[in-house]
Amino acid sequence: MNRLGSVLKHICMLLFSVLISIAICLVAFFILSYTNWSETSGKMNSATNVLSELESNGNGYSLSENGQKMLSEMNEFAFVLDENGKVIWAYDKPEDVKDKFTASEIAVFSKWFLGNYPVTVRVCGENDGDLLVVGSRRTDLAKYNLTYSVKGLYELRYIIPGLAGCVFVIIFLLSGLSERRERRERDRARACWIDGISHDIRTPLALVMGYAEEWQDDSSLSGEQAKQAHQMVIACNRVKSLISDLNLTMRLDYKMQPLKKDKFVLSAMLRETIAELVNSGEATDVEPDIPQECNRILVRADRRLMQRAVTNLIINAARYKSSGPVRVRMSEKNNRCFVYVENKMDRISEEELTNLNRNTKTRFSGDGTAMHGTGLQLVRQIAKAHGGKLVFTGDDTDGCHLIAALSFRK
Amino acid sequence: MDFISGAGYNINMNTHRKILIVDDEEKLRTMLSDHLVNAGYTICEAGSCASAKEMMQRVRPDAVILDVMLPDGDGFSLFSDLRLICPDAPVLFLSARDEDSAKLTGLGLGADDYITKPFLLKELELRIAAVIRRVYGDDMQKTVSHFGTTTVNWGSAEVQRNDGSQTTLTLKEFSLLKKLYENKGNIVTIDALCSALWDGDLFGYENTLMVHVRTLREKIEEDPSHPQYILTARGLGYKMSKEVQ
Repeated sequence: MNRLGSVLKHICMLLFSVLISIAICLVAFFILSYTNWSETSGKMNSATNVLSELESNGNGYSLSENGQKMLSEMNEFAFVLDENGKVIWAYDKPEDVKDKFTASEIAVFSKWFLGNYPVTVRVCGENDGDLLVVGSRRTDLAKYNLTYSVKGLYELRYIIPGLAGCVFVIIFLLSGLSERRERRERDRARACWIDGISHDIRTPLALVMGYAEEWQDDSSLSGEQAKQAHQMVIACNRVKSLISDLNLTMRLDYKMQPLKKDKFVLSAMLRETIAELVNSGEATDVEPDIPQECNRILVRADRRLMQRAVTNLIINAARYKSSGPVRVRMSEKNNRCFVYVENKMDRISEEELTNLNRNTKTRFSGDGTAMHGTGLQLVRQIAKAHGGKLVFTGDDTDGCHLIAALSFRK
Repeated sequence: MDFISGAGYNINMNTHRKILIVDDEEKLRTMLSDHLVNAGYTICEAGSCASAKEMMQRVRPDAVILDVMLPDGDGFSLFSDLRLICPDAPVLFLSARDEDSAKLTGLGLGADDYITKPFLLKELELRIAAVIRRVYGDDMQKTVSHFGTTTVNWGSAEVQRNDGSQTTLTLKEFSLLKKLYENKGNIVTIDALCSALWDGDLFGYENTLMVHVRTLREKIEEDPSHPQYILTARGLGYKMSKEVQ
């Protein structure tokens, strides 16, 4: 559904880009046309108005008062050339405009400028034999001509798709950036929310855990009550681990947890982890099987994260074992370290092993509800961050054993 | 009432020290206070940065348990202010966020220890005892411990047996016994013991450690081959029985 939505979204973006490009081309075309037209029409109007006020009287020309007023107001000048190019009438003609022009000069200024004066030319006089030239001051008017080639206009067929492509790429990039920013903000908001909830849970949980601990050691309470209090302490520890796992998983997911790699003796870390679990009562029957020669093995890893991974594996094994102790072993091969956490089970089906080894990238199932196994998911993330993995295998040689093998680069 | 004094059992050697608990959660303060009073400490409480500073000036506590989040500021800033008032008083941070531990170490504030909520009260008690001991030394000279009918005098490192015989602990035996005693009821790994005895890694010291444990048992235990007080946690380390008085 998400993939289909994404495809539809991109198709819409493409269509939108095409429409935008066509609109840009049309707007550009009309703006240029309008500019051309308005520039020209302004002059045309001015020259046409002057022409209407110009009177021919056999010997020459005269401009009505209205025409003179109009030229003065527009700061323009005007003159008439006869068929030989000679100025036969003028009004307010600048001194640097000469009195006679050749045919080629007339051809040039009729299209462009006379000197620096933008001018407009109209035919006048009897039999249309003379030319009325109306000029503006140098700083008053810009003059340019645009000529559209019909063939060029047809080229828009190619320009529009190209432009559409560019617009599409720009929109795509902007949309990608915006999406990434939105996702980052959403992740951050979610992280803050989980962080806030975790924080709010921890303080009341500290109260429950503290009083339960007091009761479990209270000699005035019956054995049964002390046992119940002990169960409360264990449950509190479980919630505490869950909160930590949730936070850490999220932080690793959103790359908010930088690795702090240090060199340490792996066997010492394993012993410390087991001792902490046994001391806190989170796991009672854990047997390390670490040969003396393993005490030389140094690893470079984030100790805190590795400790968390091993803790989760041991707690998981202790929770689901059928009988006997949880065994913890380690080995080293080809610059890789292996930590094995083993527990006895009544039976392990192939399906269960497949499920355990399934690398769930998201912690939510298809219907949006949370999946179990946040602890193991975290172990996988930590292993991955250290260039390793977590693999579950079964061993039937002496009863049914489930072995979790955590491997990582030394 | 500013102070709550404890005259209860005396499992730690550095009790009767004044501890200031700074946390905005009153119920949590009460719980900590009750527990530490029972452990023999004198407690004063503050629920905000302002009252903590005022209390520090007035009471001059020997140690501070400091929550990171307070209504009128954060514990990290308050920590710097408290250091100015009582430079020697060790501070143990209480935090409700895993990330705070990283922040504490990252900032290099020089906090003595931190513990994340929720925590076991015994663990907190051990931690506060450890930081106080680190700063002020310990009062072991005045105390004796009983391993059944055998008595150990911490001041003279002498072991008095029921039959009237008397032996003295070597320096390593004393350090070993002290480390186990400080963590009574909990497993202490061979790595932690080696670190306490030789300030180094385990490698190369495993067998020497075993020899020290054996000689210590011979001095303490009634039947060293069936120890009752210095117990072996197979593959991990050793544990002192809770029954030691």
